[in-house]
Order: sequence, then structure tokens, then C-alpha cells
Amino acid sequence: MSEAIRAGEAEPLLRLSAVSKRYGAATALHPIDLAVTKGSFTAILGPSGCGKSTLLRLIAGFTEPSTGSIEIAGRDVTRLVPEKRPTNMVFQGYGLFPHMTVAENVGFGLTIARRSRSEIGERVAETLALVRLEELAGRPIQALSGGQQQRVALARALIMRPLILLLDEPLAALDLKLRQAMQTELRRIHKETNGTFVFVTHDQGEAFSLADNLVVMNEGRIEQIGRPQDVYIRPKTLFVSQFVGDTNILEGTRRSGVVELAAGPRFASAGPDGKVTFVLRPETVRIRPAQDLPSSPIAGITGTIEELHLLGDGARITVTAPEGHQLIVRLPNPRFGDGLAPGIRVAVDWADDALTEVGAP
Amino acid sequence: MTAPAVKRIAALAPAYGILAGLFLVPIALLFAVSFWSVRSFKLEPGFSLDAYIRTFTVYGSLFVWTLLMAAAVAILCVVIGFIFAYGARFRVGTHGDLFILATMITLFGGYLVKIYSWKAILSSNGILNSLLLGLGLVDQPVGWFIFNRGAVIVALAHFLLPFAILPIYSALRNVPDITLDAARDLGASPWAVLVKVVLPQCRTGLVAAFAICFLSAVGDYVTPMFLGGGSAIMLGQFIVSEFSTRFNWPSGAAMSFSLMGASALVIGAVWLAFIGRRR
Repeated sequence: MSEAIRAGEAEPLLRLSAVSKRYGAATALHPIDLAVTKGSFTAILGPSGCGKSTLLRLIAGFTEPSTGSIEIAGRDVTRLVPEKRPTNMVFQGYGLFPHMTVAENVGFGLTIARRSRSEIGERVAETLALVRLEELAGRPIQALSGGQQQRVALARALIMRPLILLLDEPLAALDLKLRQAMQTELRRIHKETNGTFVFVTHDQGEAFSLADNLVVMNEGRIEQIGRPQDVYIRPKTLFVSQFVGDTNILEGTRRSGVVELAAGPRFASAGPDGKVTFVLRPETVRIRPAQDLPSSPIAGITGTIEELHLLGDGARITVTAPEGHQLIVRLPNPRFGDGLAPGIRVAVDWADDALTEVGAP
Repeated sequence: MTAPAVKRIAALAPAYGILAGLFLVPIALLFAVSFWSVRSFKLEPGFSLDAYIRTFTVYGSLFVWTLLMAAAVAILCVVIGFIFAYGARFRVGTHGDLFILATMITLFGGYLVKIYSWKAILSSNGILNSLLLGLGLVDQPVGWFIFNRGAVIVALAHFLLPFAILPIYSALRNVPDITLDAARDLGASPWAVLVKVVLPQCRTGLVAAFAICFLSAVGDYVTPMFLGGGSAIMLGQFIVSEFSTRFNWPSGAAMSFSLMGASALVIGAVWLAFIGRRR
């Protein structure tokens, strides 16, 4: 039975095995393993300098790995030059050819492949329609806005029908409105082309809104791989919890199955004895004015509201406990903030499963 | 006229005054002289095309050879200059500017020093022949290294190369690396990247380099005098003698303007071929 299931499982389209990259004494990428399945939309998320762009360039073939191997569709491409790989890339800054028109840019790859003029014309028109730029085919590149150039770069890569489309910070240069519009476009194009997209970003909002598979990187290592919601709710490391969203870090000690947090609360939690770190998402914290509570102690913390920021779509509240521990609370709707104001004594608590234990940093 | 406009014109006046007084007026006078005639070493104003007719009947083939040699020099400079500038831009990392500085240093050597150096290298008792004799590769000095068109072209190209490298390098600096990566990503071989992405993006620099080298070479008369001997004469040498020893100013002026016109045509044609049409 389990054998049958395993046989039915699709081979990953892209597989990196123990791939690393060193530049002299500096390590850009520690050995990593990564598998990307066909049809997925994978985001590689991390701060600048975490090795995410190096990873993308390794997949595209612009950089040769120091160790390990890269397989695409079952074929070893580790030593293959970029022009021979079944990948295409949307570059950060686009890299459009300034001496060509929009249509010439988009048709470049097919011209190089010596396709017939009629085929090139057809596919250019079809791809320009996909990115909604039909009217601009004859324009020179310089006459285009940033968002339009972004679409040309996308079309130029998509026309090659790559097995994997790589996108390096594709939306970084666009303003907020345009970025949101392009996110919608990218999702639509991903669906329409039935493609496999791998994109690199430092913007967690972008990663969450686009990807169905999230790879969080830091300092040349993969910290966590998973579905975005799983990574958010159950971060594996302190770095992931801090980089992905706002977070509260609660430290404490475990003694024979009971954890006592430095901020006060005690609860049962299995695991080895010693120092422990838990993270708590601000939106999972419940908050009430202290006088509404029964006098008996609860599983949470009592403290004073230090700051209250209305964010438009919610409120962000900082609570200071007597020992100086601070907790951030996020309320989805400002109306729940009614009756809450700086200086007011409040009680905060959370559901048992809101706490996630993370490994030491 | 507004006050700032007057101020602007006043500020520009000295520069334009110098340009007009030292360049445009003499050129215009020389152009007028090219239609005059000479009788017993005296200039006679008038309108005659004799000097132009003489240019093309007496110096016709020399005229064509001069243009061909200048074109050869310019093409040689653009090709070598491109290879050098390409290497400095894309192959030596951040040291590219140092390489360009090195080419500038060769300009300190001066023009005549370079000509004499080539003479010392190429003449029958020169360095090259001594080397060949010493190695036993030849029994007696090779005579054809010097006093021919090849020697003149080599020496001129050597002298003009930095003037080709500079505009090409500056054009290549404006070619983003990322366009090269993008081309390779789309399947272009290194050669296709060069031809379809790099060259078209720096073509203004290439044409500028060609024009600078061509114009400098076409009017040169010192290099052929020292290295060309009797078999690689250029029109410039005769223009000099028309003005000096023969005192035939109209002829010299007509030859100058004919060469100027022909050069303009050559540069214009090159411009049209590589830049004008694709815009």
C-alpha cells in the first residue's frame, strides 16, 4: 500500500541536493536540499544577503555550485550553461534590451532559436496578450513605464515556455498599487500557463499572497520550508517567527514537564528540561480590561497598556507586565479597542495552541 | 529680449567669437581661395574650378588610396579597440578603469616618438631584422617591413588606438551586465550575445571611434613621410607641398576641401549604416 502511494507520487520537477556555494573563504550558501513540484508557486523569502539570489542564479545556471547537484525534470543540469537550461528568468531590474522594441524583446529567445518568422509573430502576439500589452508591441523600451517593462520582462521569459520560471525580486521596483496589481496578474498567469514559478523576495506580504510553497532563508541556510500558513502559525525557528510577521518571544524554563515563563504563566509542556523559547503571534492574544475578570489568577499576564496604535484595519497594543516584560497584541477590528486606552490595566491570555516552541537561534 | 537671454548670449559670446575668428573665418577664406588661381606665384581672385579638376586628374588615385588607408586604420583601431575595451569592461572585474588609464599613459609618449619607434623597429637595420638575423630565421635583412602602406597603417593604428578605446569603453560602460545575462538565459550563445546585444548597444561608441580614427588618419602627412617612403604616399603630404614649396594655395585648398567632403561622406555613410536606420 505504502509502496503504491510512493510510486504514484510525482518526482519533483526541480531537485537540489546538498548544493552549496563558496566565494573564497566566504560561504554564500551552506549545503541545502530543496525540491519543487510541478505547478507550484514557490517563494524564497529572506533578508538581503541571505543567499536567496545566489540560489536562484544557481538554478538558472549563472553560478556554478561548489558542491552538490541540481536536477530539473530528472536531468542533471549542474554543469549546464544558462542558455541550455529549461529555465527562464525575470531579472531584478528586468534587463530588457534597450535597442529593441517590445515585440523584438519578447521574440528574442525564439529568434535566437531560429524559429520561423510566422511562428515568432504568432507567439509574440499570444504572449503579449497574456500579459496584456498587445497595443505596445511596436514601442521602444524607453517609452514604457516601470509596470509595463515588468510585463515585457515577464513575457520575454514566458514565451520560451520554461519548465521553471524564475523571478528575482520581480516587483521590488514598483510602487504599492502597481505591486498589488502585478501580484494578481502573476497569480492569473501562473494559473493560465500551468507553470512552475520560483521567485525570490524579501517582502513577506508578497511571498504570502503569491506562493503556495514558502522557503525561508537566513545567512545562507534554509530555515523552514512549508505552506505559508503553516510557516506562519508554526515557525520552526526564532528567526522565522521574527522575519515572518510580528511576534512575541516568551522565554522560560521547563522542569519535569512544566514550563514557567519568565513573564509569569505556568503550563504543562512535554520536552527536555532546560531553557525554552516560545513565540506567540500578536493576533492570537486575547485582551480584556482587568476589572472585567474574576479575581482568580488566569493563565495569562496582567499589565498596563503602554501604547495603542490604530492601524486603520486594526489596532496594535503594547502591554507592559509588572516585571517589565512587554507583549504586543493585535486586534483585527478597532472596535474591540473600545474601552482600551494607554494606562489602563488589562489582562491578556491566549489559547494553549497559540504558543509555538522554537529552537534556539 | 529678456535680460537673462541677453546674459546668456553675452556669456557665450567669447567662446563663439574665438571659434568664429580662429576657425570659421580661416576655413571660409580657404574655401574662397580654392576657387582662385595662381599666376607666377601670385594669387588672383576669381572663380575657377581648375584647382578641383587638378585634384581629381592629377591626384585621383592617391585620393582614393588615402581614403582606403584611413579606412583601414580606422577599422583596425575599432576592432582592436573593441576587443580591448570589451576585456576591460567585462573580463577584468573592477580593474577595468586601470586598463583604460594604462592606454591614456601611452598618449604621453607623443606622436613623433611613436613614429621613430616604429622606424627603429621596422627598418632594415632595426630591432625586428636584428632579431630575425640573430635567430637565424633570415640570411639578410628583410626590406619590406618598412616604406609601404602596411607600415604606415600599423604605425597610425598604434598611435590612434587609445582614441578608439576611450569612446568604445565609455559606450560599453553603459551596457548593463544584466542584459547579457538575460540574453544568455533566453538561449543566446556567447557569440550571439556579442552580436545581438553588446554590439548594438555600443554602436554609437563604435561609430564615434571610427570617425575619430578615420579623420585623424586621413589628414596625416608625417607618418607616411617617415614610414611610407615612395610607395605609401598620402594626400596630406601633397597638400603640405602645395601650400609650402609650390605656393599653389588654390590647389592645396581644393585638395583639402575635396578630402574634407569625401571624409564627411564616408562618416555619413558609416553613420547611416550603423545608427541612422535603427532608431
